[in-house]
Amino acid sequence: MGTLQNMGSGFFPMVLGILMILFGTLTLVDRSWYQTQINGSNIAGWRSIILIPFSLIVFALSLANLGLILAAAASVLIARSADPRCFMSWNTVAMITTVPLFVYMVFGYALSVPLPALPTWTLFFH
Amino acid sequence: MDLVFSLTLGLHTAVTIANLLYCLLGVTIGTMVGVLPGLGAMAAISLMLPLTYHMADPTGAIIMLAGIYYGANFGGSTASILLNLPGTPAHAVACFDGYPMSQQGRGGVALFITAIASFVGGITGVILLVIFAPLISDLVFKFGSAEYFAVMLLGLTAASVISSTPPVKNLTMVVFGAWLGIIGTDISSGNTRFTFGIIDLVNGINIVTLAMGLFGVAEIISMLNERRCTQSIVDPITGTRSMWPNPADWKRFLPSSLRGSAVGSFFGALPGTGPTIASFVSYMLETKISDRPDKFGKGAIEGVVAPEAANNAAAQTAFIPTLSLGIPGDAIMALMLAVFIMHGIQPGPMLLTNHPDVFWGLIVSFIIGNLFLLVLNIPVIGLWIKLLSIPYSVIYPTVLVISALGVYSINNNVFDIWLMSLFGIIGFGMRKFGYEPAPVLLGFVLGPPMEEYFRRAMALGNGDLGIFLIKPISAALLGCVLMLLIWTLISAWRGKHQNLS
Repeated sequence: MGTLQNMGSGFFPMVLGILMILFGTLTLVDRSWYQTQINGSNIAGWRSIILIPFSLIVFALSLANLGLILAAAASVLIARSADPRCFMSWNTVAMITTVPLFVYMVFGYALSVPLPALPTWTLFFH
Repeated sequence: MDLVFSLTLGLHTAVTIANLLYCLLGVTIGTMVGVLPGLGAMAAISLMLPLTYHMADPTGAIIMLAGIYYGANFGGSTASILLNLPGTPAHAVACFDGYPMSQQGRGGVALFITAIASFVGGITGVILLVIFAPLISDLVFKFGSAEYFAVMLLGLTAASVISSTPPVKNLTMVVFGAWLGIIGTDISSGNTRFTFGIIDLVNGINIVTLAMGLFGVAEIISMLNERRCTQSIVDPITGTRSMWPNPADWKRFLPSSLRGSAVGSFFGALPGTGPTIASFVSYMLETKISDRPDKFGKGAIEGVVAPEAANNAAAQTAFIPTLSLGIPGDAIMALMLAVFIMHGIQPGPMLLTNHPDVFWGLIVSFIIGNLFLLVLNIPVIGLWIKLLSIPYSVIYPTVLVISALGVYSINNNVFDIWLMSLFGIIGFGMRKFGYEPAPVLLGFVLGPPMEEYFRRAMALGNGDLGIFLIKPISAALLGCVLMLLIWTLISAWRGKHQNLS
């Protein structure tokens, strides 16, 4: 780990750790720094916290298997469901079809990001 | 004469068809992003950044991304004036007097005059940038490792202290950011730190992933969680028929815009402050020195003109420390720094000597960009207003998918998407508990270099800690850090005493 004068690779993380503990203790101890009320409403809107990351995770997982277009469609669908008010609407249908195509045009075609557009198991039909 | 030569060089670089187009594209995207509430320059720059990897010439990429930044400052006032909804936080102030003007049927006037005010502010900022960046670069040549460490420490401390959130919370975030920056391989020894055996982490976390997750995804989660902006934004009530201000307006315009530009230029160059603080301070200044203070809040034209000039000037002068020192003043500048580095250009004193074409080309592009904004925004205002009627519920899934792909395209690795969603959750939690995300980015960008410079200073000084105090510049900078810390402690102590009594 080394000393201050001759730092090894473990020294700086150690310093950071100590600082974290220090600041954490200070935050706990001094009640006037405590946020006595959580910003906004309670974490009752669990939909968004779960569904938005879930939409991204689904995208990440399905990208290699399902191809760009389907993965984007699935991701948009799940993301839309995070807003319960407008989920069941024609807008959702429109978005599921247009956004993947738009995204494919920009990323897959114009910028040549190496991604399969369609599911890989249908590739031998091409 | 040097200046004329430099500007000519800049002109040659900036006035090529490609770079002009990039500039136009950048400022247009910037204005669009500034107009739309919920989408900021930060998100747009992080989104466009991976797309610029494939460009052979970095100058165009930098011109475009910078255009997004100061373009957003142009457009941000549109929603504030018309809908009482700031497009970006720096434009919250424009709501105070801009919206009443809209209600009085003078919305068009407000929009027109803020466009001009923004232009004045921007140009003032560029002039100061031209004067000061070379001067500071000359000074910085005398900087050694100790001085770099000290100036980075000053930047981080200033950013933590000059803020509305408690400094301890900001400092915690800085440390968190520094920790995130360390993840990966240690340069000096080759050891991997905090990678937990995950091979994708060996090269560290990418700043775009961090920025998009912490700011973009977290913002989306936040918006949906608190049920803000989930419905279509109502059609605005405007009297855009006559946009030309009357002579009384013009008389008040010039002095207040110049005052705003001055305030903005100062706060822009200071690390830790930026367009937001600049606009607020400028507004306060206007109310204090006005001859008709009771008019504020009811449509006083100075209340709109000065803050707008201020935040545009601040956006330009924010480049001064970034370009000449390599020290970013806030999160967006940290991202711009990453833009330079990713294209192989190291900002700092060497920028002027090694890449004068990039530097001066950028400066000239600022001037051209501000002109574009002025000329194009006025006729196109109707279009931006139409843009505001797109419901947020349509915008956010699109942004989500685009950011996922943008982040993927950095390393062609889905791991980055995982990371981004993780940072999104973390960022959301931070917002809920009142922690600012910006210091994380600053710590991320400045933390690892600080370690490196410290080590180098120790190596050069043979392990003598006093080297920081012996060298005059370093000692002066550390003295500033000390003063800032003392000032914070004093005001915190005074605040507590006032609370008790």
